Amino acid sequence: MTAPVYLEVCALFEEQWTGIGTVVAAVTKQALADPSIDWRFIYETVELPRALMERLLEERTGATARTTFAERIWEHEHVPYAEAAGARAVFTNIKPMRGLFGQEAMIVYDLSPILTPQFHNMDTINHFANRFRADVESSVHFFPISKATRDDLETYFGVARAATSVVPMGIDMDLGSLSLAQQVARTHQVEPYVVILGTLEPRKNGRLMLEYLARNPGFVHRFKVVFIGRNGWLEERERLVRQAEAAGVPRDRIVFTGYVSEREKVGLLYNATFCIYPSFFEGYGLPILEAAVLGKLIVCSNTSSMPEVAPEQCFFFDPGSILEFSRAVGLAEKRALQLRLPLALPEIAERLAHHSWEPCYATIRAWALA
Amino acid sequence: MIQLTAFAAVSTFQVEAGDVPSGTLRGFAAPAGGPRPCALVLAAGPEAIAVAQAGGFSPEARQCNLRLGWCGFTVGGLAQGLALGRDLELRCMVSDRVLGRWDAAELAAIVRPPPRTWLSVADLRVRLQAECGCTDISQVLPFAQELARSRGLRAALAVSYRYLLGREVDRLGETQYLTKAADAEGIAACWAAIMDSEEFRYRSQSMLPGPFEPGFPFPLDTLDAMFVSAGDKIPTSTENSIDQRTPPIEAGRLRRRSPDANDHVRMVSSFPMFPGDQ
Repeated sequence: MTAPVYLEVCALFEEQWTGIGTVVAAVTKQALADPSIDWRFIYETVELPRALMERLLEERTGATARTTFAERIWEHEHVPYAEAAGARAVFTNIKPMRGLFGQEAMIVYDLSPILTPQFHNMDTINHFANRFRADVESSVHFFPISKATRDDLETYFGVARAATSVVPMGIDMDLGSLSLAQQVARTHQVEPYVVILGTLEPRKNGRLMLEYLARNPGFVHRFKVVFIGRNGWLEERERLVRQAEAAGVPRDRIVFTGYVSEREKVGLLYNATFCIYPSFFEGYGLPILEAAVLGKLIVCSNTSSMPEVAPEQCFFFDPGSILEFSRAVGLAEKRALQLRLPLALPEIAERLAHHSWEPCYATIRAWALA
Repeated sequence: MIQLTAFAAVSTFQVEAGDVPSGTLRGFAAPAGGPRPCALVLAAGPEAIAVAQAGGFSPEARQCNLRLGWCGFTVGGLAQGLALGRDLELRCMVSDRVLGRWDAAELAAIVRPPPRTWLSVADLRVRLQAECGCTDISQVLPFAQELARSRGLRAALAVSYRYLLGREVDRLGETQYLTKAADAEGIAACWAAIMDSEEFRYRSQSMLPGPFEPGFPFPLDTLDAMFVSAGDKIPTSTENSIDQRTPPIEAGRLRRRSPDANDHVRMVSSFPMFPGDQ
């Protein structure tokens, strides 16, 4: 057993786990199962018991654990300063505090508030601006989630490549959900639809799809368009609805699901004809990997990290070009018709095994033990 | 195999014969206790055909007073398994214990999958949500009732608000409901009133989550609370109304399972299985 290593897990207290929550949950799960490191879990300076971490992972939401956490704050169980000064800590998002630990490392998802500020509200930009540089300066090591993010860290903050370790992203897909999706596909002819997966916000570029529909009205009669994801910021959903109306798209041909459970997400992805990921910018793009593991074709932006994820199953396009997008959608539609039957359960399980979270954790673990 | 949710070993298991001709095994599989559901694997020899979490609602399990009914499973793929030309096995995913084994030749004489039917995206979503979701409010009301008994009506109301309306209870709601409800059993009336509200109707576009779904806020130790007092009333309904109630369930029908129940698997099946397995 080593000296204590601290893992900051604030993201797990979010009600709905999307990208960052999923990564933090995966690292936490592996850390809990690793007896060789004395991992301590913290929310800001409050140390959290392992039982609470296990409960969070079982519930897959932070909503119900918040009360327990609030009670814990009043118990004043804070990280002892003397112990922290000699310890290592891994921050899994923007740091809630810095300089407390002897050596601090951080997971870096993306620098999108710097690179694409037009897609963020001012609160987010200010939050990032006020914190990120000092976070970088107080860290000795970085875990970017893609090569693109690593390059951005180097370019904009002068972070040496030697101080970075790209952490491979993984998938923790429930095979029960997958089996259900397959069972539905065996027993039903599901109406043809395409999926756009991601939080509804301007950076995800859902508007490109509606621009495409305005120019290609026939598409929406062949395929329903299903937007999967919670309602984000800058009133994107309202904008998309207005754009669809202006384009003359029949209301019943576009579906906004809102946030869906893991089971529903897998089922909708699996039964889709193909997937579309038109985002302007991503730190990684987990939905691309999820769709690829299920054997889906993806019409995918060619910017930032996205070409790294599953290039063999993607039709790439420039997210600023409706012409390139149209061509990619056309190719995907034709190719999807030629594909053989959906992948079988063992085949998908094997793909999942190749994309487990173990390499991600192993990278963090190596730094914790160094 | 990768598994996301932590599962428990099967202690009690039952499969219904009625759905087999459609190529589906349906039944319930319950652990000896604890908050985790069981998970099952349907396999043809070494080949896994399907995996199912036993986290749905099973009326049969409810009748047997098992985990308030929340241990039902549906696993499809019998026809696919038969096509591999091997006998089929249903195994516990945790212990790898064989729960049921079926002779391929006998199955082949029974299984007649119906033709595929059309499914819209909306129907697909309902189908996916229903697997482990709450299809009738009476299936989850006992969790609120148990919370009201153990921690009081105020606590139960607060959690009920999060579950039904997705938000914290406000002062007006709290005052309104707490003054009307005389005791812990009043939580049923609170639910009826909340579900009658415009806010609930506006919000309830998706199915409410079941106990093993993210966002289910009630303590899962209720699953093991097998004692129900003689005065308890568990309503049943097919119309999402909690006004209709069945007569009280006799306390004698509900009993806590013995701790050593984990040591064996009780199987009930009216379906052809290899004789040695029963």
